[in-house]
Amino acid sequence: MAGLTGCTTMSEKSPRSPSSRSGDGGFGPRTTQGVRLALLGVVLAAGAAGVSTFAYFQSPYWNRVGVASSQPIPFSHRHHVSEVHLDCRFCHATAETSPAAGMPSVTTCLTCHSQLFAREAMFIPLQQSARTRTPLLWAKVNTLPDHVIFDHSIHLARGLACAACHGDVGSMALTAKARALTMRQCLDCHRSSSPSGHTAPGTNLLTNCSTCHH
Amino acid sequence: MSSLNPVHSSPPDRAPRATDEFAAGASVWRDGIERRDFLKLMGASLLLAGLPACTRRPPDALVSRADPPGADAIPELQWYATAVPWHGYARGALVRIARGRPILLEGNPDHPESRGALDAVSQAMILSLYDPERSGSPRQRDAAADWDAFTAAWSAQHTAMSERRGARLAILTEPTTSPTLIREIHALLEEWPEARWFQHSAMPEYERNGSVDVDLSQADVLFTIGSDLFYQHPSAIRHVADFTRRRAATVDKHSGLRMHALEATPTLTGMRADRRLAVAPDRQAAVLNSLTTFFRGEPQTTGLSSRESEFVRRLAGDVRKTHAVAVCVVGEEMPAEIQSWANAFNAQFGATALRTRPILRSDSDPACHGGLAEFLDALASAEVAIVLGANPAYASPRAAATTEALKKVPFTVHAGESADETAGASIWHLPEAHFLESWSDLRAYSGEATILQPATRPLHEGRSLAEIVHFLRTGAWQSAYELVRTTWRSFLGSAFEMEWNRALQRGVLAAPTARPDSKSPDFPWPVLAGRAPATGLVVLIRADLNLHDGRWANNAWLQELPRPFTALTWENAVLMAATDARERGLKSGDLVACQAGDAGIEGPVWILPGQAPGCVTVHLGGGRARAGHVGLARGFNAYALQDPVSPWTRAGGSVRATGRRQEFASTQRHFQMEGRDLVREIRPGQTLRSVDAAQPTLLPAWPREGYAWAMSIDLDACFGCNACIVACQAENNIPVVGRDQVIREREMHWIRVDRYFTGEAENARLVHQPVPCMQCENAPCELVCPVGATVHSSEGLNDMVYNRCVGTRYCANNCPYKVRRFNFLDYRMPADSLPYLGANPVVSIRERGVMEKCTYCVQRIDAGRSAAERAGRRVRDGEIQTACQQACPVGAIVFGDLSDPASNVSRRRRDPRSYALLEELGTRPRTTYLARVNREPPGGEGA
Amino acid sequence: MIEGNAILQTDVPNPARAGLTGPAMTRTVADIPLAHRLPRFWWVAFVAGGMGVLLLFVAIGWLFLRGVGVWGINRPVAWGFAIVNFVWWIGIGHAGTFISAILLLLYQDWRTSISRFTEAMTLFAVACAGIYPILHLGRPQFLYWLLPYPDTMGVWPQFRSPLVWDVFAVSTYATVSLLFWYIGLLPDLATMRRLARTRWQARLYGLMSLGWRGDAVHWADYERLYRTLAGLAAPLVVSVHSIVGLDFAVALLPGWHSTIFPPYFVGGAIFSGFSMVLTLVIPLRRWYHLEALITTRHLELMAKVLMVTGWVVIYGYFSEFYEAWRAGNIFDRYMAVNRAVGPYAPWFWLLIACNVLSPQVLWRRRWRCNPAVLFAVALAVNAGMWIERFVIVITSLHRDFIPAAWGMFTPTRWDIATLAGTIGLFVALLFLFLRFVPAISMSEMRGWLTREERP
Repeated sequence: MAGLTGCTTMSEKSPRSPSSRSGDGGFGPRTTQGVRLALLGVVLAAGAAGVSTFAYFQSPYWNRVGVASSQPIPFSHRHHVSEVHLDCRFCHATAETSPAAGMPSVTTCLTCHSQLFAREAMFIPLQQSARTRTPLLWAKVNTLPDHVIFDHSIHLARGLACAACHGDVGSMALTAKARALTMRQCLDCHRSSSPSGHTAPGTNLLTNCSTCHH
Repeated sequence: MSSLNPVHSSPPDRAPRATDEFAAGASVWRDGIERRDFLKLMGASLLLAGLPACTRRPPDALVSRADPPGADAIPELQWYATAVPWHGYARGALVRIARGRPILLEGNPDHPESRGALDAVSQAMILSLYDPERSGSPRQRDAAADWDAFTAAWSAQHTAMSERRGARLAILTEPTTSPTLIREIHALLEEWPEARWFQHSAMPEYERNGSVDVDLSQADVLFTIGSDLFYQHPSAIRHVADFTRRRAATVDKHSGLRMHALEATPTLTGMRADRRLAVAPDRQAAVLNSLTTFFRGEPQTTGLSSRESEFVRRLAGDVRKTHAVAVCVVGEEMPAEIQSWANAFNAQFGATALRTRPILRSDSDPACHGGLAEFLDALASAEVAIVLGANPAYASPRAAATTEALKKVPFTVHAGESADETAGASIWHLPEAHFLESWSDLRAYSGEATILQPATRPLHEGRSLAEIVHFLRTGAWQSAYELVRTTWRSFLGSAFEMEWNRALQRGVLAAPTARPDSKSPDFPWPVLAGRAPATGLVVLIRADLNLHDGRWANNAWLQELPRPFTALTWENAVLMAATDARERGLKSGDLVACQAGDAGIEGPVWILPGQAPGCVTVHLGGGRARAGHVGLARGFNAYALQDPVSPWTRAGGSVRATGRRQEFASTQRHFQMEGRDLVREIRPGQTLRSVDAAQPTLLPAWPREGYAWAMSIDLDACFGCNACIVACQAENNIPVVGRDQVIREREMHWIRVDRYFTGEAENARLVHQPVPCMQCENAPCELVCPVGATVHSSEGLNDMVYNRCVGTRYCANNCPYKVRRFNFLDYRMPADSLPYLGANPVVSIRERGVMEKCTYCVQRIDAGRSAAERAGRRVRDGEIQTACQQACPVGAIVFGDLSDPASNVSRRRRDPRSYALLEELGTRPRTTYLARVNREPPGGEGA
Repeated sequence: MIEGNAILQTDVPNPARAGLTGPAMTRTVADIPLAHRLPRFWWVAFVAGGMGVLLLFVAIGWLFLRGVGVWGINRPVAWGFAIVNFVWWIGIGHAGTFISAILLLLYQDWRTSISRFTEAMTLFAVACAGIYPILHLGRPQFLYWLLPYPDTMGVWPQFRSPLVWDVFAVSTYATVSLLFWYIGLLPDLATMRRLARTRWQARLYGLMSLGWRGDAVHWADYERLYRTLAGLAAPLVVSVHSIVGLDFAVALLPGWHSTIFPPYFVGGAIFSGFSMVLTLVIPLRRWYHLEALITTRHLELMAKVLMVTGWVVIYGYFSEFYEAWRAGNIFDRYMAVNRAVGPYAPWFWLLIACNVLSPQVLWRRRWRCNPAVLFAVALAVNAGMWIERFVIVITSLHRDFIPAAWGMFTPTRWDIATLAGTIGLFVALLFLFLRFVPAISMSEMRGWLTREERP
């Protein structure tokens, strides 16, 4: 457009340019190049920030996968499951009958540990609890996302193995979360096991929102 | 489930603890955790609910109990049979206990006066249990004290009292049917013969009609005179249930039970009548006299208006049909002469529909020395005055006098659930235990007894009245459990333990045989003295439908429950006929000074269709001077207008505008249907277009795999009692928003009862329409939600996912039924508040900025389905009941599975009366209605 | 190109004929930002705007503290001022791109004098509009759920919802407008860099001009890019407000559920946009003595656009009532009657007065060319367009299908404060723009002038 080219001529003989040196306001080609690079840097930084945030929320650091939390007693599932061959339900008794899997009472522990290793220092909390009749508090390992109504019994009734969510506890010296247990993981399973095969919400009972949220 | 013992419950400890979110705490691990831990979790969950999930939560504790969970393991749900006290009568109920906390009151199917249903007020009693302002410990001169102090103080009095054999001791109680309490009072009077016992109740005298009880299942014609038999009556549920069953049997005929109502101010009962005549009290005598002449076959006296004579003609016509059994029921607020007229009527036409019932409430107990007036006289000379349960310093026409008299007595004791006005006038106040936290016993209106067992360990230090009376006599405390057992050991005799257990499990014990009271068998037709037309207005004073005599003023659910005729909440009004208002140039909302005699109150006018011209109605229960912050000074105190002689009617009233106005907290602003086809009415036998007839639509039909949940609401049965609203509120943790928010139209009830007036102003009829979520198959709300927070479930539910909602409120706009509710502000009860203990643990509590709505009680559906799946079968019809359905006294609401053609709801959907609300919008609602039936024989203009 | 130019040339007298030379023009325009002493009216306006911004912050703070309940919204009226203001601002934001992009593609030289200014106005209006959807949310902290991103929940936005379309439409529009405006600025920023009187000015404008040196290459790239963006922006003018219109049309409420909405909204948008341009240009050309550049002829042309779009809007009103009557749907009919005689009738008639009657004044050329009259009309239309959105949102919601659920809407002081606040924000931004950026595209002006100088 003729109009636009007109202004080069104009800008050269610009009225009162301050000092001939800073006609470009100190922006020589090099400076300009620097500015361009800086701009590029800003763009890249923004991108990087986004990616790392996303990565953070997927990371074990956030969802604690494989991170064993410290317990009052260094309980080993490996020992009790792989070596002693206890059934899960021996301790987690109500898993098949109620929403909660159930934690063993101290007395349950003492059925063996009143004799076995009873002298070991690590059992002091156990004996204290038994003596003082105060509950023994364990650190919770498997946490679900917010606002979920979860029922162990119905999952077992539908033939889901404990390991499907809790992993191979038999190989854990100290118990840790085996899977992130994010909503997506729930959905992966609920969608695939839909009787009708298709996964559009509303066509499969298991993908109904109210199945887990109400 | 053994119900031998009260639930083992630890005292509440509500210190919140930083912890995991609500639902995990609520559902994932309950085992072995003490209830208080669970409550901590719930509490803390609320604190965290507001935070977005961008904090790395610390792992929290799992608990290994010291002892193996044994008999006291806390199961998911328990039901205990008990009864709700209804002004001294028992209303059988089951209390639903979730994880050790009473959360819900349901009707007891085995109980004759509840039949598995429960009225709104009785259900709301669960909230009173958790009322933070319920009296928790004794008070002396309005300062905190304890039981030891009172025990000491009384032991001094006790010796003196024993010496003078009870002289100068005056006891005031409310009339009661509790065998234990009566036994204790009698024992006291025997031990101290000089003591005086009085009774006072601000409610109508329900025992006035003696041993006569009507049985509507036998009647062909029901004639009510100013009676609220279906709502405000000890056996209201039984009567309305019988009535509805009779009506339902004949929806397609003009025959069947017909009903006529003569009243001055609308009642829920009168509005059910085929013909209703609204005339001021001074005209009623004339109408009844002309009926008398009709029945005597004498020539008609003139002097009736056309409407009145039309009413008389039709009523007489119905009554004199061959073999018609006609019964007349008179409101307890009506003059005695009208009652005697009704006795004559019943003797002549209704004998077969009359029953005799044992008179069990202590009103006419020979040991009793009179009412409030006599009590006040006795106070003049009394040294010790004891008021048990009653609150005469507020709930009586002699409130001021009572306060004065009590203040003069040296030693005064008040026992009650709250430190009320009477407590303020007394030296000692003793906390009465809530009926859900102590042992007691009561009898139903029809005589069946119920042993009330506690559902939780006492939240406070309250003690039952029986315990207190026993202590007053003996100076020693004995547990209510022992007292009640002592009473029943004598009744049940041998095999006591077995009988006792069965009684606790069923919640009902047979009534003693009734003896007809010794009235003369023949009733002459009295000629009613037609009261001269009163100068000025007649002021009708009535017990409030929600707050009764004001005792429930601190119950937020009842305060915010829309009154049936005005949808008013949080306040009362001066109800007035349109013509009267026009004469005085008054509009709804004008503050008026309502004078009667020397007494007067100031309140806002509400123009009420169906109110007879010439009289205004005010309701009791407002203007409490001493109550919690919920009930304090709501509305005006109508007791000021009561005349001790005739408390319910006062002639010579006047209404004067003050020039000021008041904004109403009413949940409904518009009571006309604007010619829209919302509440449909058909003639018997008429047929409506089928609900499932294909609507013109481009959308594919919704697949009905597995269960297809649906609901049907019978508008011909619904009489607008609000029971569904409270049931829903209790089941779904629905918050109370308070008066200001109601004025801003932000009430949260998931099911509302729409009310429309039809017909001309004076004889207007009120039609009710409960509106829960329609669970549309083509739901407009789902289309517009940007985040998919409301989506359709495979079973046809319109799921609302609170934790996904961002609060655009687009869904609410696009809902043609306007059933969606939004948390405009933070309406949650504080996590550390007492009412929070009563929250339903399997229903999330919604935070600020989140949409919510009726879910068909999806938590109940899930529980039912899971149970069925574990048992490897389908859910049976009727196995899953929604809260509203369960509470409905007339079975108007039916919920079930459409894919089962035999299910009750499927049958209802095929009913010729079935229709869908706003079906022309093509939303294909799962909730449908059954049209009302107008049984008025053709020719008569629609009653 | 020249032919096209000749054909479509509207007869705006080239300022050069009035003896205006390039350097003189440059001086007039460049002096405004470069001047050291700021005129009093600038301070007055800027401080006023600043107060508005403070008010806005207070209102938003209280809102986030207490929740959307501080507004007058309720059930049934769940949408209130937030949506009304949003639609109003978005509408205003239409004139800029329309003038710059569409008129550029149509070779309307007269646009040169006002394009830069209106583009800026567009940006600020869109900025104001953009605030509301966030404030409007019950839980604004979860705004990002409206964006499709791979989350750990395995769920996506619900793409059938017009609100999701809004997110894309508005953000795209904002981005393109910003680019378009800034690209257009580059040559002028370079000029400013040259004319800078102090070091910081030189530095600032130097940094902003991204190393523009006015080489032929720069000009070639510039022109290609500028026209491409114009091509991109043109359809957006139509798309954005169509989609905002769909927010309502998709719902089934009587008064919203109508196919006329998209075109009707676009017409209304340009209508309100131009009225806002006039409201701002008329005083400013006076204060900054730009009559030579923004001539009465310019005003007249804008007045004509105002009338054309005004009639589009009038047709919209007409069709709403016609459809309500023609369809014979009881709900639509009630809605129509309720608007005219219901509790909000005064607002409706005010709307008719402002949007339907007042522009008819402009039929007479004398009034069309009279800045005072034009200014009055423009103000009326601004108000009218806000009231129009109020009437559409509120009267449709407050009485829809079920009388028992009917209600009323009364704004709270916080509703008012938020509206006033964004107006303040708009003014403040506008005067900052005038302070630092040449309000008229010097480069394009030069082009226009030189065309005349050329023998």
